[in-house]
Order: sequence, then C-alpha cells, then structure tokens
Amino acid sequence: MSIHETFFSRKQTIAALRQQIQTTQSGGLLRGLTSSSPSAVSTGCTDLDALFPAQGVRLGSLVEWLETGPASGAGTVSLLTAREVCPSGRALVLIDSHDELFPWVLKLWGFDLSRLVIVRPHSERDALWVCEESLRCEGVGLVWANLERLTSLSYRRLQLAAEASAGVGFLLRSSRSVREPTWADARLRVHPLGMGRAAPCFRVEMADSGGRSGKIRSGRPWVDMTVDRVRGLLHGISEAANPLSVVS
Amino acid sequence: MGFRKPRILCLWFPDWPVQRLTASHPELAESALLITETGHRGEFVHSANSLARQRGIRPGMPVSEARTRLVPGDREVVEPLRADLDTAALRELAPACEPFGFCPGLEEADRPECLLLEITGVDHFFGGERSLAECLDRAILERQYDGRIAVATSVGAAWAAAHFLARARRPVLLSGADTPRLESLPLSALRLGEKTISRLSRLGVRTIRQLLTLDRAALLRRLGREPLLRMDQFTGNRPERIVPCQPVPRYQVERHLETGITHPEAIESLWSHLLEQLLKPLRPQRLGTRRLECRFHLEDRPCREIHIRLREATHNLRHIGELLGLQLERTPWDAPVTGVSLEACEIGPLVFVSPEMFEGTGHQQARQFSLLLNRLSSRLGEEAVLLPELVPNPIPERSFRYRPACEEVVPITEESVRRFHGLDRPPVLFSPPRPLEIIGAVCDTPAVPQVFLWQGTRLEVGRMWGPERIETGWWQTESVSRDYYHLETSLGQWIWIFRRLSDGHWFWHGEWR
Repeated sequence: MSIHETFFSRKQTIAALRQQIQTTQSGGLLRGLTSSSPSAVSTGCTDLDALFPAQGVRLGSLVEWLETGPASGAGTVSLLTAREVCPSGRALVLIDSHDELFPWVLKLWGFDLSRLVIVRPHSERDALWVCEESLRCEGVGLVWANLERLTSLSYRRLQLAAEASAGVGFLLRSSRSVREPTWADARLRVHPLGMGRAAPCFRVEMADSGGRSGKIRSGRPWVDMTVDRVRGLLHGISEAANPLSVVS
Repeated sequence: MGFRKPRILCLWFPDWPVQRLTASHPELAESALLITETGHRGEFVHSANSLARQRGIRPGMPVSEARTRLVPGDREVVEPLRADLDTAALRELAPACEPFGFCPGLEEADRPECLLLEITGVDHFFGGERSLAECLDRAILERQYDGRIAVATSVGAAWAAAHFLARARRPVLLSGADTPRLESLPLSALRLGEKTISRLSRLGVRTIRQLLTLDRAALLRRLGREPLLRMDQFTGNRPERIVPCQPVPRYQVERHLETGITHPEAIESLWSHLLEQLLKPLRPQRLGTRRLECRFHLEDRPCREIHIRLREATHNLRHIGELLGLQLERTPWDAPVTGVSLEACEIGPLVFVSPEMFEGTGHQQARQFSLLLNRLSSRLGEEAVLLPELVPNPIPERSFRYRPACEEVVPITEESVRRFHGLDRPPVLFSPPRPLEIIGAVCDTPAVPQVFLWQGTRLEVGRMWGPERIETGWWQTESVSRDYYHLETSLGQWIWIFRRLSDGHWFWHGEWR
C-alpha cells in the first residue's frame, strides 16, 4: 500500500468516525432511531417534538433537562411535557430532592394525583437508587428526578432500566453537567425569555456533550415556547395565540 | 394502579332487639312484643314486632299509648331494651359468618344492628358475590333471623345500601361506579348523628348528593369533622377498619441465643429462618400481613426495632425478606445479636388477583408498582415516599399535605383547583418563603420595589401582575394576609412573590423553575 493510499484510508476512517460521533451525539445511531420511530410519544408541542431525534420522546429512553439558573423554566417545561408523555394507566414518580414541588399545581395542570408518587430522598445516592428502581418498574410510566451528580456508569444503568421497562426518565440537572457524558436521547437546555408576554416564555435548545448547541436533522436547534395561561399547555411561540393577561 | 377498593358486606338485622328475643323464644311471634326504653320523659317504645306494628304501634310512641292500640285477645309482652345483651348476641352470631368473609366485626354504634365483613378475595369460592350473599342469607334464615345484605366498596356505602336498598332475600351488590346511585339517599344513610342531620335539614340539605356538593371548608367550620368523616367513609376516600368481634390470633416467632452473633450472614440466616416460620401458618389460610414488627435483641444495647409496612396483605417470603434486608443493610451491627423476634400484624386476606379490579391498567403493572412502593418505603422510610392530597385551604403552603404511600388511602382530590387556571400558581413552592431585600421603587407603582435581593441573587423587576390577595378569615387562629404578584424579571424569569400586609415585608414564595 502506498503512502498516499494509507493517508487516504486514514482520512476516510477519521471522517467516518467523526460522522459516527455526530450521530451519536444527536442520539441517532446509538439507539438505532429513525425519524418515524413508532415508540415515540409526542410532547404535545410539534416545535418541541422536532428537537428530539425520534420526533417525540421515545419510550424506554432518558431525556436530560438543563437548568440555566433560578426560574429557568426547565422544571416547568419538563413537568408539562411529562404530563403529555407519561403512558396512560402507568404511574408517575417525581423524585423531589429539593422538597420544593407544589402538588396543588400538579393537580391544576391535570395530573392524576392518584397515580402520582412524590419521593423525597435523603441523599443523592438514595435519589439515584430510587430513580433506577422506579425506571425498572413496569408499573411506572415516567420518572422525573433532580439528579445533579451522575457517573457515566450510573447513567448507563438508568438508561438500561428505562429500556427494560419501556418507561421514560426525565432528569433535571444544572447546565454545569453539560460537559459530562450522557446516555440520554436528548439533552435540552432551557433559558427564560423576557418577551413581555403575560405568560412565561422559554427557549429550549438542544445541547451536545461539548456544551455547544447541538444540531438536529431538520430546522433550528432551538425552539421558543410559552405556556397557555388557561390550560397550561406548551406552545411554540409561533403557535401561541393571543395569550390573556395573567391577573384579570 | 394498586389503589384497589375493597369489597365490604354489610348484614343488617332490622329491629335487632326484637329479632334476638324472637329467635330465642319463637312463641313471642304470636304476641305483641314491645321493646321499651325509659327516658327522662317516661317509657317509650323502642321497637316492636310485626303484630304490634300491625296494630299501629310505632317506635317512639309512649308505652301507655301503645297499649291502647292493642285489641282484646292480643297477648302483650313488654321487655325493656337490653343493649348489652343485644350487642353480645350479635357478637355471638359473628362466628357463623366467618366462612363468608374475613374477621366479621360489628358496626361502630352505641346499639349495633349490623355485622360487617370484608369479602375481598372470598367471593370466588362461592362463584361470585351474589352467590356468596345468597348463601349467607340462607345461613342467617336457618337461625331464624331476617337480614338485609349489601356489598359495596366501602363500609359507608354498604351500610347505606343495606338500610335503604336491600330487601329480604334480595341482596344488593354495588360496584364503585354504582356509588352515585346512593347519593340520592337521605342524610341518615351516612350514619350522621341526629343533631347534625337536624342542623343540615334546617339549611335545606336533605340528601347525600346535596351534602357532597357543599364546600368542605365551610362544612368543617360549621359542623365539625363528622360530616366530612362520614362523607369520606361513604365514598371510600377514607379507609374504615372493621374491628373483628373475635380477637385475631397473634402471629409471632422469636428465638434467643446463648451467645451473640455478629456475622451479617449468620444474622440474616437467623431472621430468614424465623420469617419463614412466621409466614408458614398464614399460607394455608390465604392470609397475609400488612405490617411486620421486628426486634433484634443486642448484647448490652437497647433492642433495635424495625417496622415494615406493606400496601397490601402478603405472605410472600421473598418480598418481605427483601424489604427487611433493605432496611438492615443500612444499619451496621454495633453489638452482637442475641435474639430476634418477629410479629406479623394487621393480618388480612390475600387479595384475589382480578384484572378488572385495576382501573385502566394491567394487573402485572399494578402489582409491580405496589412492590416498588414497598421497597422504596422500606429503604427510605415511610415519610419519604408520599402521596399528595389537596386540602381546602387558601394559604398555598397549607393547601396540600402528604400521606405515606404505604398507607391504605385513596388520595382525596379536591375540586378547589377548578376555579384556577394553569399559570395561577408556580410548580415550585419554597418552604419557608424566602425573605427579600428591596432596592429602589418603581415609578408608576410606588408600593412595588424595583429590585429584589435574596442571598446575593438579584431580581430586577421587568413586569408585575397583581395583586391577588390571599388571607385567612378573622375567626381562624393564625391570621395570614398577603398580596401575591407574578413577577417577570428583566431576564425573563417568572417568580411568585408576596407582600405581607401586616408589616410590608416581601417574600419570594415560588417560581416557574
């Protein structure tokens, strides 16, 4: 083999590897997804669906929501999405490590409290254990958890647990963890947007493991969203119609 | 999803004092039998047999007047009411009902007339609930008693159906979906006291449905806890235990060692062996335990106690062993174990596995979820695995409470959220509210500051909406009066703050995290 051929072959290999890394980062190759994955569930907002590799939340997967500071909206958007995604008839487990969830609002948002359990773990280790046990349980449709520190091994265990039960895991983390490895199908960073509307507005953007905004197959890597004041539904800003004032 | 409703059978003996006497003295059926009660206004008829009723004698009638109703030739028998003997006779009858349900008990009343049985999981031995009820009816009839039988999902509903819907030889079977049928019944079907019924009647409330639509907070304030308790017991939102007439045998095992053991495997072997011994007698009777009390006796140390609560009765050795192991793995042994005693409490029948009992989900899923809750509660403690329940209170931090997921409770979902919209409250509530420091003031709204500070976090006011005043009534012990605002910061963050009206201080109470 000539030097030229060797060099050319190495270049091809590097290009192929680069392509593989990019696909992996967007969640596609690793889990063999296609855009029309039958097990994907809509978030109830088409703009948000477009950010997911499977055009919706895939059952048996994890989604990471990154907070960018206080009142970032990551919890709000993830909870409203959880309401839409949690399979009917299965329970929802909320791991509230900060003891701050307001159950009254969950009822207001249409969660069925009889199928909802709130767990208040004493430590991060307990939170991780609860998350894995709950994800592994077939009776649980969705696990929502504040989990800050996650090793790659623990993360992988969570992902396998979700796959085993076809449940969904929503992990709420700070944006600092963006540089850590992920086993989530999607990693979404949420910022508040001051748009002067009478409802909170957020930018949800895809973030890759390098901390930069990721790329999705079609369209922008981010979506601007707001919450319907009356029903608490998520809308893309372009979809939102005539929001009313908050206090009438 | 595991929040399964039990099946309760209520067997009511109308005019039980009369029935008791007639069963022991059948010849009394040919006499006019009056059971009388003496009060401060004289002697009155408490109950009467059919012959006396044919003569127009009614309960509450003075005995002197009742006597005038009898016709010549009627043999009159007047007996004073003996509530103690009546209760004892009913208690003696309970063992005869044991083949039809688990641990029959008396209704909670001064003068009980009903036997209550939990028949969950028992009916399939009879080929269904109707067949069970008919067999019980025949067994009662053979003993010369006349009973009314109803089966429902709560003690309250079964009691109401037995008293108001069931007829002789015609048992009533109601599913959970049938409960609204009972709502048209009068208030007396709720087992309310006469005083409460009278007060409600004066307000124009005469049926259960009317009562259920009233504001719970107002009912609590005006009439106390009784109406809420009875309503919840009727709907099944609040569990009501049946106290068995016969004491349940204690299931307890223990073993003491001459010398203490320290090796974890040896300790595990000891309690595993004892646990197997404990659960063995429960299996042939299809019984299970809902609570396990474990005591590990230590050398020169106080006894270590471990309690395991289960969502449903079980005798599954592997599952209970796993739960005990979860608790023990977190507690290192600091002294040799010299003995172990285990006691199975809250013994109950195993629930018959029936997919239709689980609303909208597969049995396997519900079962797994139930086991998960047991595991989580065992490792983290009952106070960490919680079911939220709404409370009718306008103060945000008091508008909900938590109950342990292992408790046999169906969460009560209040309708108080109906008048609110999706963004009226934030999903995150700080407890206690965070006190805010103030910098500057907004020009157009002098009362509202321009910048808030909390522990170095600066919140610059972008826009504010409000106020929404939330306050407690003057008659309540602790006065709360706040003006709440939705605040959008200059960065677009949405937070929920309030100004305490008593001193004008600002607090950060929640946010759209």
